[in-house]
Amino acid sequence: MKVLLIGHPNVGKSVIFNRLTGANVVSSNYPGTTVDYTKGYMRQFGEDIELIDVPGTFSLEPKDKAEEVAVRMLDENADAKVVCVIDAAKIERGLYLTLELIERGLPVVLSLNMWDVAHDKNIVIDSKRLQDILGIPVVPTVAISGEGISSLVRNIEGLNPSSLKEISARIGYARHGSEMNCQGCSGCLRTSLSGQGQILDTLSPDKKWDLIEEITASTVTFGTFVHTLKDALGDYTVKPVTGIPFAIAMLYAFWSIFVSFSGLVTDGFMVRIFDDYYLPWIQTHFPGGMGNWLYALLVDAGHMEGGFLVPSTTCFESFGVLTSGLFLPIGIVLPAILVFYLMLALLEDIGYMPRLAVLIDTFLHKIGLHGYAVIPTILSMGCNVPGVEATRILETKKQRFMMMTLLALFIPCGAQIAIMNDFIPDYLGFVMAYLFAGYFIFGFILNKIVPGRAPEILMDVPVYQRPTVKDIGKKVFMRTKGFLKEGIPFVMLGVFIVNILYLLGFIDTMASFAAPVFEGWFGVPKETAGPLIAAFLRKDLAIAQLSSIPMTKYQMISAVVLVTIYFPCIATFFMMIKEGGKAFFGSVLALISVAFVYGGFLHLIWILMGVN
Amino acid sequence: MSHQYAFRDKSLVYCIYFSLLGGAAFLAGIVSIMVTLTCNMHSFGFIEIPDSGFRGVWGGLVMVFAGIFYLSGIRDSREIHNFAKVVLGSILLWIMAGTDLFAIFAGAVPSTEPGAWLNSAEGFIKAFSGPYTPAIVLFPFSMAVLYYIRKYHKDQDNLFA
Repeated sequence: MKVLLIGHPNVGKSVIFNRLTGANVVSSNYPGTTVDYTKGYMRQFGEDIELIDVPGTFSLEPKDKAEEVAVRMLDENADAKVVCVIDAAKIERGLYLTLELIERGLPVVLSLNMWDVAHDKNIVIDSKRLQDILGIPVVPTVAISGEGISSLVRNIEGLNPSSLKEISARIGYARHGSEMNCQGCSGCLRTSLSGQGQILDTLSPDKKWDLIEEITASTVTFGTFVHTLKDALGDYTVKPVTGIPFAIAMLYAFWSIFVSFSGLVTDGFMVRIFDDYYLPWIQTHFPGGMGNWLYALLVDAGHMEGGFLVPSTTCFESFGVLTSGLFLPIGIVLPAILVFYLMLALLEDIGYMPRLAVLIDTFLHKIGLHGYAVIPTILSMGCNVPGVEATRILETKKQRFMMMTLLALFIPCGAQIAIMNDFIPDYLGFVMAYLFAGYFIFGFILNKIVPGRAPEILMDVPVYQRPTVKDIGKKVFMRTKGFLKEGIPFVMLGVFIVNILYLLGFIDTMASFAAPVFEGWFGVPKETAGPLIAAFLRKDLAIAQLSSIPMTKYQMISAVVLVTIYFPCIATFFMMIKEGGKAFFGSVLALISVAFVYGGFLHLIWILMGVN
Repeated sequence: MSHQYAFRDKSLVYCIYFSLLGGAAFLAGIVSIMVTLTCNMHSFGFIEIPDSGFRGVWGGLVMVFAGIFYLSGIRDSREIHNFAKVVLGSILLWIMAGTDLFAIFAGAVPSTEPGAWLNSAEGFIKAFSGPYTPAIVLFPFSMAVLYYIRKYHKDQDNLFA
């Protein structure tokens, strides 16, 4: 048996999916967390049932890429049973999607999720009567606590399709409801043939809404809405006058905890573990010793002091695959990424992200995006890969192209921020300021030159929720695991390739060849060529390399900005090809042009300031 | 209109208390910004202004906002939206104090002595012995809002019973 979980964005489908399958799909308190389908299995009724978590969709007429996936899943699984998950507090909107599913002749069970929220809002739903009218099982659920989930599962077996004709008849919506042959009214029930040759009753959208009105009138009672303290606080975090100060405070907290925690773990413990214990141990036990090429490649190349080759005293200086290659991702990046993902998960699950989206919607419209662009942007500050994937929640090709390009150019990932915070803390503020300025300047320019639409959208703001330790822990664990799986091998590979290129003299040749561009146009030392090559593998590795090149403060800022914007790392590169298709090549062109122009522009600023 | 009210009765104590707290937070924020930008002296008795631009200026700005929220919320204290502003002011103060305390904690855990991993109990406690940032000083006073949140829930039960 195959079961599809379908519903509006942010109604708790992924939470139900996780409960039923024991899977670890990331769920958050904002729309668009699931942008692709996920499969899982549960054992019920003596058989393995395949469960598919479909991206949220408002209707079966898709408006963005994630909704297209949802409709495609329905088309490809015409024999599947459907669990339609809707927000009980916004029942009318959910019923529209339910009627569309019934219209397709699908066997549906309706989950009235967030039943507790509806109760808090004094919305009383007669689920028994609703079930009688719709002719399908209706189950009140609270996905987060698990309430009603077992009843939902029990109802999957033996599901039969209902029809709009039967519903119309039950509700007494019979103006033409029973007149199947009416030809003169666009709103009347009509018959059509499904792909499987099934005769279906259909209604126009307007008439569906009329029907919903009739259904809710006889099944839902809306009590007096009491504006609670929680509602008032929610309002204030969205209104600009109060919301912007609150957002400034949240960013302060985010950054302060990030710096304090990563400082505590990295400087307090990791540096000592790696430099005082691990490095001397590996220097002693690894065969070969100073001067041996394999030892230099994997452990420590050493440096010249008074005409003698001496061993390095820190893991960072040694720049070996087994020393720097482990110290950078584990000693520096891991603590930072851990605390970053923890705070991100908290903001997501509380429900602050959509409020931030509403708050900066006006600013982002100036560059052709809308408030939801903040979600891929903030996700990219953890890692660009999920950020690029999250661009699916944007509606048009133009917006997705612009978003991908801006993310790859101007949003440094968490690993890179961690390294900058450790190696160049005094310049970090400047670098971030230049990157964010570039985000808006080039967003504005791209919006003017890229053809296509940038439509307005209505944003749903969910209620604030108390996050659960289990959900937060699971999310942080999965994201951190993803980083460890990808980050450590790539950093080690990066160190290996860069060391080989140095040993072969390739980087010195490249640096001499590109010197006129680096020194003349960008105003940075020609040695920046090495980190730029490493940046294609890992940006954090490149920043660490840059910090060991002697240069002025302003050259360092330019070099770090250049490493960030000149090209995406290899993982983001492949994700952009996957998500962008042909548009990716346009994006690469934009990347190279912007890196060249913006890098030169920064140099010009330093010249005008007389600090170059 | 009764559903717009947070409390059954007006309270003069509430108004005076939160206007004083708001004034103090606002002033502390302004002083923090001014001192960070213009002055080398950062310690005043048991109060210390953070000397970094991040904590001094950005943090000072958050304190100013906290003060404004308090002061704009004391007018018609029974109204739910005004009470929400007072709560929001307290949340901002808690963010500031919480992050300041966490920064002290993060600095106090590792040992600075060679050979030892963790700080001694004495050294750890000493790190918390002051001077304190203005947010930490005002933090205990901001907790009074919890009493009013409890009172709000109690009064709501009575209003809508």
